[in-house]
Formats: sequence, C-alpha cells, structure tokens
Amino acid sequence: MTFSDLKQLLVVDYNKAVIRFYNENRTSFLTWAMQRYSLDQDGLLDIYQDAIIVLYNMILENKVEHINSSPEAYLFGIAKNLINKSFKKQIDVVSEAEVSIELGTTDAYMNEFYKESHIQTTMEQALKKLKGNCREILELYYYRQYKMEAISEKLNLKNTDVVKSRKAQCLKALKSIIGVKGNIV
Amino acid sequence: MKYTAVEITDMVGRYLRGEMLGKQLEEFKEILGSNKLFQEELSLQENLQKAFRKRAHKDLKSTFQSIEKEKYDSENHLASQRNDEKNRRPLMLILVLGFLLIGATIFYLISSRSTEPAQLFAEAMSPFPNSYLEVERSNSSQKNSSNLEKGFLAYDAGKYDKAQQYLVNITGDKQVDFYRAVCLLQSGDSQSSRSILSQLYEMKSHPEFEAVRWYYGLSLLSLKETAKAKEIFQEIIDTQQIYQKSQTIYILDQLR
Repeated sequence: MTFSDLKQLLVVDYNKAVIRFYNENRTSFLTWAMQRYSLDQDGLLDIYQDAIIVLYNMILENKVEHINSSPEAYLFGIAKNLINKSFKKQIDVVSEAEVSIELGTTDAYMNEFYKESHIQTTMEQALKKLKGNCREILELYYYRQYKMEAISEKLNLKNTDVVKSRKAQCLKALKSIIGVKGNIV
Repeated sequence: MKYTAVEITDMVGRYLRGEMLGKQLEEFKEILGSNKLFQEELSLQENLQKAFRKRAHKDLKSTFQSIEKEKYDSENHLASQRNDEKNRRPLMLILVLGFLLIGATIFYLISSRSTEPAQLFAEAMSPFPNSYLEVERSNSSQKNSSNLEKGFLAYDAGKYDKAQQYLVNITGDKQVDFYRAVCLLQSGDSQSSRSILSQLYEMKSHPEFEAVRWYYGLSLLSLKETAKAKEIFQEIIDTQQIYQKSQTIYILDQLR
C-alpha cells in the first residue's frame, strides 16, 4: 500500500482505514520490534499505537508527500524514534524494514499529546459547547483537512460559500465562548 | 489594507493548511510578522487544531485498546485451547462429549445472565488511557520521582492498585481524582470509585466530563444500582455524547 492509497482510504472512512492498517501491520511490527528491543509486548504495543497516530496525523496534513518509502517502513521509523526517546536508547543501525526519521518530526506530535496546556484544555471545553454542526465543520476543516467542496457535500450544505460563512460563524462563536474578541483590522 | 474578520479567518486557515504558495505566501508572512490580530488568529486556530488532534489521539488509543482486548486476547486464548485438545487425542471422544455437556450448561447459564449488571460491567469496563501526564518509560531508578509520576507510571503499566496508592496522596486535582476513580473501579472497589465519580459528575466542569459520566454509570452498574445507572446512560444518549456512545446503547438495550 502506498501513502496515496492509505490517504484515499482515510478520506472514505478514516476509522475503518486506521483499524485496518493497525491489524495488518501489528504482527510484523511486533516481530521486528521484539528482535531489536528487549521490551515487553504491552510496552511495544503502546509504542505501536502512538506511532500509528503520528503517521495518521502526518498523512492528514500532507507531510508525507516527499517520502519515497512505504507507510509500513515509515511507521517503523517513527516507532524507533519513540522508543529511543522513551527509553533513552540510541540504536543507529537502520534495517530495510524502517526509515530513518528526524526526531523532531515525531517530537512535534508527541509533545502536544502529552503536555497539557491551559489554552488547549479551554479549547476542548469550548468545542463541546458549540451548537449545531459547528464542531463537525471545524473538525473536518482543521483536523481532517477536508476541502470546502468535500465539507459541503458531507454536511449537505448548499455550496462552498455557505461552508466558508458557516465556518467563520462557528469560529466567532468559539472565540466568544473562550473570551477572545474578533476584530476588524 | 483593511481586512474583515472573515477574511482574516480564511487567510489564516489557508495558511495553516498549506494552501498558500509562492508570492501569496510571502505576502502573508509579511502581514503575519507585523499584525497582532493575524498572529492572535493564527494562535487560536493552531490551538484549535491541536485540541482536535489531542481528542483524536485519546479516541484512537481507546479504539486500539478495545481491539487488543476483543480481538487479540481472545485469539491467543483460542490458539492455546486447540493445542491442548490435540494432546489429549486418546481420550478425545469422552472428553468432547463431557465438554459439550458442560459447555451447553455454561452457555445456558451465561445467556440467561447476560443482562446481569455485573456481567455488563465486566464486558464494558476498560481503563481510560492516560492523557494527563507523560511519564518516562525508562527502566532507570525512580527514587526521585514524585507520587504523581510514580502513580501514572504504575497506571500506564496496568498496575492500578499501586497507581491508586500513589495518586491518593495528590489532593485538589480533579483530573488526578478521575484517574484514581478509574483505578479503584478497575481494582474492584466500586463503592469508593462511585463516591469520587459522583462528586466529579456533579461539578459538570471536569475537562474529561464525558468520560467521568461514562465511568460513573459503570460504577453504578457494578454496584447494581441499575435505575440510577440507566439514568446516567440515557443522559449520555440524550446529550449526543460521542464517547462510548455505541457501548452505552448496547448496555441500555440489555438493561431493558
């Protein structure tokens, strides 16, 4: 499977695509990881899950388009970084099963998962208070990286202008909830 | 040049999604460098994106842990059973007949008890993934670690009794209280768990309120306070909560 194939599956049904990817690569990951690291299966599965989430986010944000390897090899590279960071082990030998990835790439995603900031907590709470399809519009646009046309189709909105206008209203409502003023320059 | 709020929102959104290129991108970066409103808008939208990522991370971890529990734990158990049966070949016929009789009886007993609250609780209960504190998974000594770090290290390792013993020393932190309640529930002390979850539920402002409500319902189920449990689970449905929605529907269906 290529990154392009995986992205297509994610767009159609992202939960199903992620679960399928998880199940298809679990055994090969555990085989690879157990040969290289003296860690128990539970610890490795935790790493595996985090690595898939990082990969998934990178695909959504189009940060994999320059990568020539397969998603599976890239996944193993991410996992290696996570293990190195978590267990302070430096293993430099790169096998064919993995790709060497800069530590900063994985750090950028993992830091925000684990470091709780006040504004993000506030943001999460505010999102829960949004009415109608606001949360869905914002999630599709900012997280799932849907194009305006795709949002319009998914939510049965008339056209992209309606989506744009609704998105702006939703952001304004969000700002109002968290106490941020929207001003004209 | 003047920009409307909608224009600012739109431009920052396109920048964040990497949709600006070349000259347009350069011009935008110049505006961003000197305009506080654009900077504030960017900060807001970046935090929004991070909030979605964080929520998705929690949900996916929960999904993966459910997969491990439902698919891989049961597959390992089945594989081990097949090996045992092969080794007992000489007594196979008598044993199979005996197992069939016992199996049929057990199946009857289990299916007649499938709506039992305790059974439903056991099927539904799984600990909430730690999204509060990153802990080092290092094997080095933890002599200087705080109770909080030790508590979440034990939590991540699935040692909920131990986790609770450390976390009980942390006061005034409602997020820690929630994780402590999950530990107690997982360890079988439903009464103590229920007591904490009830207080957190009444506050309504907990950052993980949806999870608090779900586990509160589970604690009531575990204590066979079925009527109150049903109220809580129904509230989950009525408020269109996404977290554990399908499990809630299943439980309510079984409790009818």
